[in-house]
Amino acid sequence: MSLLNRFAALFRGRKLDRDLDEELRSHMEMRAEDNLAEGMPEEEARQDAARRFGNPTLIKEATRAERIVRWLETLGQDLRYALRVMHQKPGFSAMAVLIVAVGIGAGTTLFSISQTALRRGLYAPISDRWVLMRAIFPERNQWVFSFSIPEYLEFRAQSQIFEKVAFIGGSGCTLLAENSPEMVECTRVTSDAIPMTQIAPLIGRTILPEEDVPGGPKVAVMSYGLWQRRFRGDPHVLGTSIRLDGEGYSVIGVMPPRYDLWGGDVWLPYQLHVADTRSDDRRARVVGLIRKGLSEQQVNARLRDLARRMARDYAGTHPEYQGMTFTVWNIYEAIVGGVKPALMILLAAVGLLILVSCANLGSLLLSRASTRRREMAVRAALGASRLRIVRQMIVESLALSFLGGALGVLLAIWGVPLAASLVPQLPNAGQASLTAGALVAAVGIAFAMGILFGIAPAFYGARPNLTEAFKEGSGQAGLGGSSHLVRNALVASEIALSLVILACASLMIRTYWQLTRLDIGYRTRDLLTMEVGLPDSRYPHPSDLTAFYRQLAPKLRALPGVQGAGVVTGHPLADRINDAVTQNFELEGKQGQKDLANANFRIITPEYFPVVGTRLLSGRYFSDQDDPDHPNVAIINKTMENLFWPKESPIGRRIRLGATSGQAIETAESNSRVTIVGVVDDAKQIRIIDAPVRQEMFFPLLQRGALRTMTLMLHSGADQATLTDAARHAIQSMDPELPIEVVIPIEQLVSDSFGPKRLTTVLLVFFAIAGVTLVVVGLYAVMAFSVTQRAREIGVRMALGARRANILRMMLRQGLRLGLIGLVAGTAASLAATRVLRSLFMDIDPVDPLTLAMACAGLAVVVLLASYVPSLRATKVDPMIALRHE
Amino acid sequence: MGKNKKDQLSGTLDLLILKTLAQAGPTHGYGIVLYIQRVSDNLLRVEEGSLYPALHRIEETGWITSEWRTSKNNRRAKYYRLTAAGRKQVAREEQSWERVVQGVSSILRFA
Repeated sequence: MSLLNRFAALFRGRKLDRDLDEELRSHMEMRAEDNLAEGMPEEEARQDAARRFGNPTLIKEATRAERIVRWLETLGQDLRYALRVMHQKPGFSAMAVLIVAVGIGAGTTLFSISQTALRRGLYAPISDRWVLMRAIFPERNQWVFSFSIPEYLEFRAQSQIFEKVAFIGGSGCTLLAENSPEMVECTRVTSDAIPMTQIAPLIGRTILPEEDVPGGPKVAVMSYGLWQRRFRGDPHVLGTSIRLDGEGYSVIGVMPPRYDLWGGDVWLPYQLHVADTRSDDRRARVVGLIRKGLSEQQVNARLRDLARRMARDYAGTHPEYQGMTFTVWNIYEAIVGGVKPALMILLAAVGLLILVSCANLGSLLLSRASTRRREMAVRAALGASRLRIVRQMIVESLALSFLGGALGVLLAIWGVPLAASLVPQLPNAGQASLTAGALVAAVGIAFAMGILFGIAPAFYGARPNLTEAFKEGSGQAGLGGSSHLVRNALVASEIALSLVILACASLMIRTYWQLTRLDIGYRTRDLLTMEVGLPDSRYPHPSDLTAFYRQLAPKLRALPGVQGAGVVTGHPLADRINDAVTQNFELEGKQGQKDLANANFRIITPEYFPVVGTRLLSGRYFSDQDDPDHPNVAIINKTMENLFWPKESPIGRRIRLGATSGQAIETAESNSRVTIVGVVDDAKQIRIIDAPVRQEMFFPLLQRGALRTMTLMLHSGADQATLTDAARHAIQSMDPELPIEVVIPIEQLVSDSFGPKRLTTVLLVFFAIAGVTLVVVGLYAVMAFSVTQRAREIGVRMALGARRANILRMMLRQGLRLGLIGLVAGTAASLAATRVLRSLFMDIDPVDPLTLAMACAGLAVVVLLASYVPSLRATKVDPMIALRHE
Repeated sequence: MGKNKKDQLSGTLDLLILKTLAQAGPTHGYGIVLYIQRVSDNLLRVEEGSLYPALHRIEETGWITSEWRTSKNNRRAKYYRLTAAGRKQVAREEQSWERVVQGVSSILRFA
């Protein structure tokens, strides 16, 4: 019985059992009939038959056992034989195993990573309905992710759209426990925010609506991580008091592990003043849970009506509402959005790579099958059935593919964390490991490869035309035309598929290279950043803040190895959903619709620009003279110059400052006039490096005052650890209770912002190398085999006077013909593939002829080399030996 | 592999079945029981409990094949038939059996 039949039998098991049942019954009935014929009474005849038979169930079981034992026995036989064959040809076997390992290893790695990254985890039950609100103010050319309290209340009133709406704002704060301060993420939430996620606290409770009112109790819900880290998971923490920014909060609950709501370590009740009507103060995000059964389109349509009504109602006070649109953004999409296209591309590429390795294994096994044709013929002659031979071949290829699969899984165990580390912002990157799904996929692919590529050669090998096989002698005719065709088709498609991967990889390399050379407006090395936040309790007045940072800058500059130190609000290359702080302003002498003018703004110390390396285009930088005793000044960026003073110089122009938004700025002195003294080059503001730069203004620290949290920028060649220590000393000499963060090199910020592209590029390059290697192996094997097969023909040709050059040309032509077919097909496929790539990564040229041509040329060289070496061997054939060889 | 190493008792039953099929042609299980009983003058009685496992074991080995047919008295039964490999096996087993018998009888003679 062949293996195939046996596999079928596993599923047909019940049918076989029924078969056996019927067989036994017919036996008993025949015996009973005979008994009857001998004159026994009917009842006795039946009983006698049954008694002789003993226990039919036992018989059935014994019979079944025989079947299984027999099957395992022959399987063992086949397997032993397969291993012996593998052992006899270690080179061939190692190559086949490696081919499978490469395909399965890459596939398993990527599949694990995608599965981990796209996992919805804790929030799965609400992930489809959980949304973040965003607005576009077309008049200001601005995307807005934060909203004011009146705007939040408008959303909350849309009860026909949302089941729940919450207001969430985060900030760093200082946790003081057991006399050691630590900077933690304090997230203020309205009482609906945590219940919205439908996740219960691990212990205790969450914030109640009656606690979420102005002047309500100071309560805190803690994250599992913080609870474990600072309180050693002590359940008695409930009801105790912790100090945050100098104020006591009573702990009411701890959330389960991996619960993550805006990166909070601690969640505090927002306690909004609902009467607060400053709708310019857009300080927090609005999240909502869409009612069941509403689609995103329906929600957005209703929000369009809301936006229109608000634009009408607030036309007097909020000109920026003109033409505004609200849209919901699925939170899951917001988190995964950046990496999803990258993962899709990579999954497609890995699929191609698996196909390449399949084609490779197939052509390799086909080649081998033809050399073993005589062996098969001998076995057939000795009485082996055709199916038995097919089964033997399949067991052999299964053994190869499973060994390769096992090796591939080992590669993946090592490769998954490595690949995940390329993209720090990959969701769940820290937990990336081989997933069960990927393991199942690996086994499935190995199995499919084994069966598929065992069957094809097996049928050629098992063709029962014995006389022909024996007549063929050393096998110069091989398997005949059809198998040649199959093998050549496999090699050609392998070349085509590899070209597709290679073309995509080259395109990504080119794009990535362009990105890294992009002028981001900062120096990209020797620049380090560090965030410092001053607690309310010890720095109650804005003047305290300014004084602190003013003193800190010279201390840092004095550190060994530090060439310059600047202080700035916000962070260069901020997260993409963090709003910049913005400021409305009016151009002097141009009142009217001008109150729409709005720009990002930062407060800086005079050293800031030289430290970060942003070029001055005209005018001057700030100096220490730009203090409260001198006229208020500002520096603007190039985009702002182009937008508001396209034809004239902005230097010396005065603007009137209006309201600020985006973050609570206690110190902002609005309604003051400032004079523009300088224009600097554009510098990237957010992490998506390809996002356009927005208009931006800079104010001197001494005139505008510091914020609670500022970023230190250090120009230094020193390494991260040394500088962190030095800066910590400097800061703690001023305030020993201040929590210190690590300094982050600018290189890290820059490369983080390339994350998904870097992952795509590195992995595509890896896949391309793997693909090309497979092409070399596949083509080499086919050519080398062809040389062996045609040795006699070559011998005859040489005996008849063909020169070595002729032979070389003849053999090369064979390889190059395959290469040409593969390249032509591959070019067509690459054009289509790069178009898909472009639709996912906007900034790639759709058809980049140069890159494609280079990929083609590279592969052509590979093809040439892979066929040259075996062809050269063909010319070394000694006609005497070739002709005698039998 | 293992054909000759198989333990003699179950080997004996296998040989009886093969020999029956070689002499009587395609036969069903019940027929094999009756045949062995008749030919051995009621000396040998094949237990149904070991007959069917043996039949299926031999079938897996490929020495016999089976098919459903209608018997003379119009009853459906599964008929077993020797294959070419089975026929060779009968010859081999007969030889080895004869060797065993020879060995045993010479020991008995000298005992």
